[in-house]
Amino acid sequence: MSLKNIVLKEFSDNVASKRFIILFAFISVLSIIAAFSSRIYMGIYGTTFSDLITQTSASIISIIGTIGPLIGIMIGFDAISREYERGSLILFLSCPVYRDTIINGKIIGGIFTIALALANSILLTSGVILAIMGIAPTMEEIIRLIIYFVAAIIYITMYMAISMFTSIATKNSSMSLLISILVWLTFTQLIYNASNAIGAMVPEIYSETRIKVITAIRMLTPDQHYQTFSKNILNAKFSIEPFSMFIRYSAFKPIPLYDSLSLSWPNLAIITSILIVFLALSYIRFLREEVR
Amino acid sequence: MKAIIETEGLTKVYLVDGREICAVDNLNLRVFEGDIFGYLGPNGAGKTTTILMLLGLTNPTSGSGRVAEYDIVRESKMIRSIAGYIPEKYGFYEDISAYRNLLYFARLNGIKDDEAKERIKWALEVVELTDRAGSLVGTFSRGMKQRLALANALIKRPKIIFLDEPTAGLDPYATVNFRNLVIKLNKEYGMTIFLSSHMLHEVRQVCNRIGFLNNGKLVAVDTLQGFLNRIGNKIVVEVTNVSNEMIKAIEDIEGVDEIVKSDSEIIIYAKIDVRLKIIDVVEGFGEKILTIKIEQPTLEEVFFKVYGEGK
Repeated sequence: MSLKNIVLKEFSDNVASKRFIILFAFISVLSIIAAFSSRIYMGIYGTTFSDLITQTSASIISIIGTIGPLIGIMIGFDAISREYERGSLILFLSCPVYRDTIINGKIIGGIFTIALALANSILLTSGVILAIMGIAPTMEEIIRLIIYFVAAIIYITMYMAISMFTSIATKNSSMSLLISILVWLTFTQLIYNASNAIGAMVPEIYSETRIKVITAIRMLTPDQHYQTFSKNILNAKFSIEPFSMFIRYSAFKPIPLYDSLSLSWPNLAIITSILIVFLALSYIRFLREEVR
Repeated sequence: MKAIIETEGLTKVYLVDGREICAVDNLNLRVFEGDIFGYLGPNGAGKTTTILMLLGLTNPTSGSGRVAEYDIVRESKMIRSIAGYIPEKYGFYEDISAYRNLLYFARLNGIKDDEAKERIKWALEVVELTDRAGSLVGTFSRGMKQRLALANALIKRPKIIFLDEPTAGLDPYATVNFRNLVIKLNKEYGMTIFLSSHMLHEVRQVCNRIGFLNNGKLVAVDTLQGFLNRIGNKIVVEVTNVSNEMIKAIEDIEGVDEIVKSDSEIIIYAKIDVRLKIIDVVEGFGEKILTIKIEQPTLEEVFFKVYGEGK
């Protein structure tokens, strides 16, 4: 009863907030652009729906990979700290509800918000591709898209959990936002750039070793796992070795759904574990917090 | 009289920067049903910590307590369903209406919507905010927010309401208005009021029983009259000329506890009425008495006397 009310309140607050509307509009425009930019693959023999939604650098995978974390952070960074700052947390707590109900409500409300943004983005891209290029997904491609949708929710929820934890730990929204963005930049910029720098130390040019080193370092970030998982799930023709420089287009062979799942589930498992760790940290910190 | 709050050895120790600070120290408190209980003490005395423990929002380090027969640790959720609470600092959602705020918190209290709507209507009438129900809380004055917080507490139909420094930051008009509301809730609806305050005059005006708290310890509990009786008679004498010898002579009168001298005025605290003896003494020194009267002691005087004894 209480949980449902908190979920509804959080979801409607998130969706009605200016910052969500701005990000939502932004990601919608990018999703439409993604569909249009896939037109360069039109006319190539054997182009499938999966190719169109994954093959360009502006694809839905990279849009959700870059803007998505911001949506997660936006929902999480002040989830608890704003209640502290506004003074509404004490009003919450003086109701006959348990504390975990409050945090559960915020998490579930946040996941609904993320799901809405991602569903919109995926449907926009698919819809535009369908409308302007007339290429429809097969049943299997639809299933792959749904699996991708769930994985993307987990990935963005992971960022929400990280920022929710910083929100609880700092009790200060601006500090929490700063830390969350730094974590995000560490994953997407710092480690990424460092992998190139360290890879460059490998003496031989075009060596297997260099690629292995770079890949190994990038695998430290959940973002790389997301990219790998998404490409493997959405476009099974795509190589499971994302950084090989010798891959020719004709060399790609379709991989059955079951095989692409069994290849890529560890990537999703890693993202999920990070999510669970931060949710657990948030719970522990929030439930043990003393009211003063 | 039936106790609605009972604590035994209630103690709370906070860890602040590695040091243990005892916010509430071995508290044995009883508040009876129908009381307007004034929980009086300077800032940092442990008033808020006591309330938080009674509501089960923070766990005691040791000791136990019951509110309306519910254990404050094991059954705190039940306490929060029958106890209203207005914290010292709180905030509603400013970007939605007063009504929506109340409805939201009513739902969190597990009240069904139909019932909630009726109770909100009633609560808004009691606090006289009916005509502003649809306004955004952001547009409310401090006094209106305080009345909204009271309405929010009333929606539970509480047996007891905890008010933490309720008139801090209110203008005089809002203060009087709020105070009258509190008295009305007690008289008309039989709600027990637990009012924490550092302001003596506030407590004096509404409370029938008062507990003095200092450094986490309950120094004294009594009725207002009981406290005033402790001071005894406060005799104010205006004399043409006061000498040290005269003061000494008055001090020697049987029953006189204490003398405070200021300019031409002498204040004498005595267990019994010693006015005639004072007149004798003053005239014995060849001076004239301009006025002599018994005054009602102020609660401030009680306050300092109680704390003086406690030290």
